[in-house]
Amino acid sequence: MKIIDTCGLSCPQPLMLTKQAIVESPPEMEILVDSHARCQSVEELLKEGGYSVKIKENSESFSLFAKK
Amino acid sequence: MKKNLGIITAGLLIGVLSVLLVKLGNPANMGFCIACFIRDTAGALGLHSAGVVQYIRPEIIGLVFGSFVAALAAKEFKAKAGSAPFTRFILGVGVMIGALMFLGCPFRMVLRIAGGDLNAVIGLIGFVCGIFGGIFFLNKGFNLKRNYSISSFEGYIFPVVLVGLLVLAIVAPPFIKISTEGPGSMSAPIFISLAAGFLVGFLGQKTRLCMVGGLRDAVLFKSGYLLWGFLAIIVSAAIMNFVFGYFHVGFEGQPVAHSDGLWNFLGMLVVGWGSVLLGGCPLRQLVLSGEGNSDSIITILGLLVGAAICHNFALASAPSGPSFNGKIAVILVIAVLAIISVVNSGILKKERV
Repeated sequence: MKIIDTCGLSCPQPLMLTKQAIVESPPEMEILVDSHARCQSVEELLKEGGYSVKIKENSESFSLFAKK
Repeated sequence: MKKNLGIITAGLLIGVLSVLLVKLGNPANMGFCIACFIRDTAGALGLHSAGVVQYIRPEIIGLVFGSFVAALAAKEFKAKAGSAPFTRFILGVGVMIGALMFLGCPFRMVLRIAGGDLNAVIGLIGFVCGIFGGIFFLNKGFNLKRNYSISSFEGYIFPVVLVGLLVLAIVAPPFIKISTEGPGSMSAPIFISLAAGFLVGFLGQKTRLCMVGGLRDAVLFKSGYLLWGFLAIIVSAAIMNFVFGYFHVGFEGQPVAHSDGLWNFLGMLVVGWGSVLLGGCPLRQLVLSGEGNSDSIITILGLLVGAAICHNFALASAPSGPSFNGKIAVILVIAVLAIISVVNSGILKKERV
């Protein structure tokens, strides 16, 4: 599964990396983000890109599991 | 639309607060101005000696406190650092040079537009061009690399230092300089300024309000979320300006502003471009500093030192117009922004391959 780690990056890098990944259109991917706000905006972008999203909270980050 | 309701409400409230601060004593169209207020604070601390712009602005302190409390309450306070700190410092200096060419940060630009100042519309055009410049390099891979978690203690130092600054503002010992004339002498009562700043910081943390993020995200992701906040401030501040009789449309005779279109344009171009590279406008940097982001604190120090440089080297504009030194400085900053943009994007690497 494609894993994209966006932790620690400034705006708008997490969204840019997500957008790039959506263009590549893998069937499944995991996106790591480091804040709740980022989590929401990345989730929105993934859903717009036709993915269903499951979120898991880690100790220092959130994992967004996206599936076509 | 429902998800935008929060940021629209926050924007409307911030617009109202900004004009109320003017009513209570702040300079006209300057209920809030992150650049001007950091500049005034630099003056109060003796970092520059421009007698008319020296005052520890409690709005700045309140803003960081507001964001700090909101972040703590939401368990979003995280001490972080290490994303190109010195580059960010330099960008902070550059953004301040641009802002003091125009006479305002993006926040004040919005408030100036809401007061009918058409020079700020020229500034907005420059700001938009600067944002597009930044977006061009983002699309080329511009990136200041990631930050890392650090000891929480590091994140708490800044709010504690600001408590000290607040004490100095209240006690006003003789070594703190306070303007007796000019914009620095005009201020709302300390605790009202502090409370207004707190509210803006709190709302800013909750909504991620960012003047540069609005257009950037609209262009890159077709997301209008942040843009709604930007527009809401203009609408409510304009209405309040009408109510209080502060609304005057025109180029000439606008408060704490000059009417040199080219340099208003270029000043805000620098601010827009620099802010995109930083990942957020000066207001957003203050909010991030309250969330524990030390890279943003370094950026604020860049703004502070930039303000001192602007007044010590006669770079800042006056209501009569920009200075020769200021024009040279803005051109130099544009060159520095270009270098930082190119070096930190993939452009050079691709050429080598």
